[in-house]
Amino acid sequence: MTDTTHLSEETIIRSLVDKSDLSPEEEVHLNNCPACLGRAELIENELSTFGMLSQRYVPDQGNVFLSETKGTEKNNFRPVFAMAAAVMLLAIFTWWFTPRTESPEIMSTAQILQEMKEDQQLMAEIDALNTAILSGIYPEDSDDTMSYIDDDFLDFIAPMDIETAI
Amino acid sequence: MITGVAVINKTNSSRNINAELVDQARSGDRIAIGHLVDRYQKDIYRMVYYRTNSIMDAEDLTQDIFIQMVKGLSSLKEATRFKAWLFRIAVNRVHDFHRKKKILSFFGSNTKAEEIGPEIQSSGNPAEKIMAKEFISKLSDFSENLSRWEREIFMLRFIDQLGISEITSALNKNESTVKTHLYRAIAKFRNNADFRSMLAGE
Repeated sequence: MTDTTHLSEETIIRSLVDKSDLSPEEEVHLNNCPACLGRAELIENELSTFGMLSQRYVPDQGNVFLSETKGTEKNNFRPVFAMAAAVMLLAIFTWWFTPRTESPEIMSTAQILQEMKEDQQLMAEIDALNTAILSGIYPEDSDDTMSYIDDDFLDFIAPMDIETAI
Repeated sequence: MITGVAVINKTNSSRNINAELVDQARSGDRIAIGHLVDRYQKDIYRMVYYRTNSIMDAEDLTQDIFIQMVKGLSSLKEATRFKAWLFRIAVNRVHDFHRKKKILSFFGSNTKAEEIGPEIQSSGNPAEKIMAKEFISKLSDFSENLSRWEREIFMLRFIDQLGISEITSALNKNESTVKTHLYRAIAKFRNNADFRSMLAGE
């Protein structure tokens, strides 16, 4: 590098990152060349303006509060998962202990058919009872109910005096 | 007038006070912990804010970072490297935050900041608010042209005002890698005429 050749943009940037990265010739040039020094200062000023503005435009914050209860690491997602698990457990618990009484609206077709079948059986039994009233229960009420009243029976009920009988 | 020697002395004495505070905090001194929080909360909040664009998220994460700081103080070997160590916690915490946000957005629950854009100061004069909004919007456009490490290193250097050695410690990267990313980021900054003209207008 000669004195008449100015430093490249890349070299000037390198000097801003760390001056010790420049070769001795580059460093000498930079220290003695007003044009290169001016370019380096311009970039440095832009970067420092950037840093200054970034500090100015940060919104205010609340104070950091370190209480003893905050000893454990905070996990933003833990409460959500805990709540979801609790709700799920509650739902399972409720479902498990709820009696299985279901309203007619939510009965399945199979249950309806089963009930219809049971109703039909009941009606058939009622019909059978209507057509044969008391048939098996009171057989002695039939027409020949007096056939057993013969002489022996009467004798048993009211025995005759032997002498009188002779 | 402050001379160069006076500035160096002031910096050295500030470092010593800092190291002393860190030592006290490591032994469980609550007042020292409080002083450390007071001293760094603005820096950490700013760092997080420019990476989340959300006041609420920045406040929450700042809180988390300091809680993690208190819990991990005993593992810090060199008190003089406290600042780099604290920023390392912050960088990791912000990275975790973005990872979780990505997972949530995969399931279709976007954060509020994504829906309404970057949050700016709600109070203050209207002109300042407009300038802040423009600055953040231009910064966001500029950041999109940077790779992840270019963006991180550029921000740590010029927004958070960390030195190269502090950045290498905070990111656990070697110095030449950090410098290379920084050259590239500054070169891209130089090529962004829109952003630079906004800065020049200040």
